[in-house]
Amino acid sequence: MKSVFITGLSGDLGHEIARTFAPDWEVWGTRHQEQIESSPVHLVDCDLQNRESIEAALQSWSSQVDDPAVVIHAAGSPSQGLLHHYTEEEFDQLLSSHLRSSVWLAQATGKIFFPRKAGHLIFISSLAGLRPRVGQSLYSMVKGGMNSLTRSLAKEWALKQIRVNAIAPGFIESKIINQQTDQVRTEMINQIPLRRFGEASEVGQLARYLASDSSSYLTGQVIHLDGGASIS
Amino acid sequence: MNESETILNRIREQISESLGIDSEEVHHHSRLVQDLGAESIDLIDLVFRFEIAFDMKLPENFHLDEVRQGRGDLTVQMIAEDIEQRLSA
Repeated sequence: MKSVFITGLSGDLGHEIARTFAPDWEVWGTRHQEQIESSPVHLVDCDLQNRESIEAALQSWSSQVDDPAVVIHAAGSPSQGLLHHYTEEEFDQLLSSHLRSSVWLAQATGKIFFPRKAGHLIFISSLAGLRPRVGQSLYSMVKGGMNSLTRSLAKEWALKQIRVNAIAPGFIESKIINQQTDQVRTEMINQIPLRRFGEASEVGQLARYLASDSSSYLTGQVIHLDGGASIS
Repeated sequence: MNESETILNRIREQISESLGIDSEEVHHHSRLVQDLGAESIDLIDLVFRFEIAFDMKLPENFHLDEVRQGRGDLTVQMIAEDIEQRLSA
């Protein structure tokens, strides 16, 4: 049975991606220790700020499953704030949770996929990486970095038949979106040509497609799943 | 077959699998870059494979400079001797 390793299961997207894979894939994922172990996912403790911890988690996964085929990096929360409001600590945290974790995860993933000459690493990026709104300068910066990593890594790893892609969701129904006022939600929807928010399950379905053999010629792409927001 | 030969043969197997060439074409005197056409990314792959094959940890820059700089003097034998030395250390 094929297996997928997903970081960030506590988030709406990570959780929904796991649900999408769960019926016929063996799903492993990282969690924060305080979470409940009630999902059909095999949960492992992993500190995504720590290189050794990431490598240990990935090695544990690959040594216990039949076919470690896909790694999805869905961890990392959105961040909002004007540039001058960021403290050094907040900036470091943002870099660490989005970029450093991506690099360490990619290194650990390569170690598993290279000898197999197969595998697929999928980053969950954001529309902000391409089309930031006011207050997203640093979040846009780290997601832009993630997009660049996707493209450059795909080029390097293509030599080993390993694919790297990213999904950049736009406005997806989530706790954060639901917390907004009606006025803000309306403003957001007006930026979306399809005039609706996306569903987390649609991100999961795209991840499933990318993980499938049907997308075997697709690598190095940042796919915007945003109802057309990136072109509006 | 002595231990050195065993190590050498396992290294030849890993190089063969990594580079997609027949193991019969991987000789102890074969030069990784010039004769076998290895690139930097191949050496990273080989390090991962050697670590699994010999259950050992190798430095991240294991012989990387020789490959990155296109120097043609890194042979299969040199790698085998290096790994044997590390195994016995």
